[in-house]
Amino acid sequence: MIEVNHLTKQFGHKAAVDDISFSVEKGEVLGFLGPNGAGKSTTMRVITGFLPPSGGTVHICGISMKDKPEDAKRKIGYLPESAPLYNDMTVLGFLRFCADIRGFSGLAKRQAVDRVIVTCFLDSVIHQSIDTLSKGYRHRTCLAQALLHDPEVLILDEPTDGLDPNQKHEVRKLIRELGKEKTIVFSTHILEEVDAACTRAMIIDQGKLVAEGTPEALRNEGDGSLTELFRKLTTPDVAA
Amino acid sequence: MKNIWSIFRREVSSFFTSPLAYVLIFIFLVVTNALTFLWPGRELIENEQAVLKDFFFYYHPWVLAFYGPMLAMRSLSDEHRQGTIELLSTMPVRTIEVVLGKFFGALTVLAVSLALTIVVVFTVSYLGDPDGGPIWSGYLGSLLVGGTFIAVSIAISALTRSQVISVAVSIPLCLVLCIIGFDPVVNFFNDSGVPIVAEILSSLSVIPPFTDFAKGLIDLRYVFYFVSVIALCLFATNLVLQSKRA
Repeated sequence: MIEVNHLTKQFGHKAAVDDISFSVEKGEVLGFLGPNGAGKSTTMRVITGFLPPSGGTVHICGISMKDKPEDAKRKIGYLPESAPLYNDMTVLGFLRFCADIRGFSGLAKRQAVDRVIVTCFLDSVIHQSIDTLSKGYRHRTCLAQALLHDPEVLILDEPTDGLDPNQKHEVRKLIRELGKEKTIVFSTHILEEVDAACTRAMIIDQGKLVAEGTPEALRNEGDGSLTELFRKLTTPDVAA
Repeated sequence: MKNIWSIFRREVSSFFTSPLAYVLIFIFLVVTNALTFLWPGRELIENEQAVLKDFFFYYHPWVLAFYGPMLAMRSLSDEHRQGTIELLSTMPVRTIEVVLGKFFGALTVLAVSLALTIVVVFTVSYLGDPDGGPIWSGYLGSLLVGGTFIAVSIAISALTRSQVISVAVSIPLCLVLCIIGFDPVVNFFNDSGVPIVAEILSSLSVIPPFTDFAKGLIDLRYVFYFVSVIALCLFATNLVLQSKRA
């Protein structure tokens, strides 16, 4: 479903992503771990086609992101890290706009928008202007946008960042449910989330893949604790 | 095509939901009317001529050199600042569709603003018997000059996250496009014995083509001039957007 081969992304001389290869199948939820600045967001931005890679290839459902970007992008729902939104629109207006861009019209558009409003619990704010939303609602509005076209692949960059414990719980539950029939990659630096939502996890550090496996396997590798493994394998911010 | 329409609609509605649009349009109307009726020595009423080319339209390129950049300043700077460019770029939309949607959005606001100056035309028609042709071609000229300035400003706005920088760079650029074809400047180079400089500069300027439009002459070469400058700027914007991500 997602195939990443020898992916490299350089900014100037610095390699933000350094020769990473992996694939994610349907029904898998891949947790993407790493310290801040490890290259998680850059990897996701390349997979979603926002940034062109410096080397390597990305295939989404067998479609090359380089050769057929529009077709590949149709398959993906993406929640960027900062949950960017048009502040001057209402939640409903924004979702309708995204539905337009995703090629919906008429009844199908109404149904798609109604569906994500329910899934992301946005009912109470649909007519509210986006710049007056709290962080939790902003995040969920942006998540709703990613789910509009019922994509086969979901790329979520820190989907629980800035949410309160209840909202975090809801989002993890949602990821688990969606993960049954979709391909999901989500990044986090909260290690508990790996246990809570992932079927598989990867740890990257300084642009390189340093560990990969099921949460149990990784925990065993770290002598029973993911935190231990994480601390052992990754470079602390202060040292970098 | 459908994507351009969606981006266009969002652009126009976002413009008219913000108070900024009304403030800008208000200022545009005040300035164009004030220049037309109050400029010392060129007051429309006192000159008792029902011709707009030397009054109302005379100022248009200069006013548009400010107004065009103001209409376009947010277009791409804001996408970068809010990060929404990341959303758009990961949706099945081509960057040129985004650029065109934004251009036609700003152009529509300009068209609305120009339409609201029709009061001046009514005034002249009430007082005298103006020739309709030059008025319509003058408006077409204004739209083309304004469109050119909008396209220049959109290209600049693609380069920066800051609206202020975007507008502060675009206005001088648009003014330069006016000044190099302005009579005193052209005369200066002619008198200095370098008419070739005058000719080159004024052939790049928006003023000579616009003056023809305001006189009622629609020269296809000049239409081609405006359209090609607009196309060039939008094409450059597209390149900037694509290379910015690399």
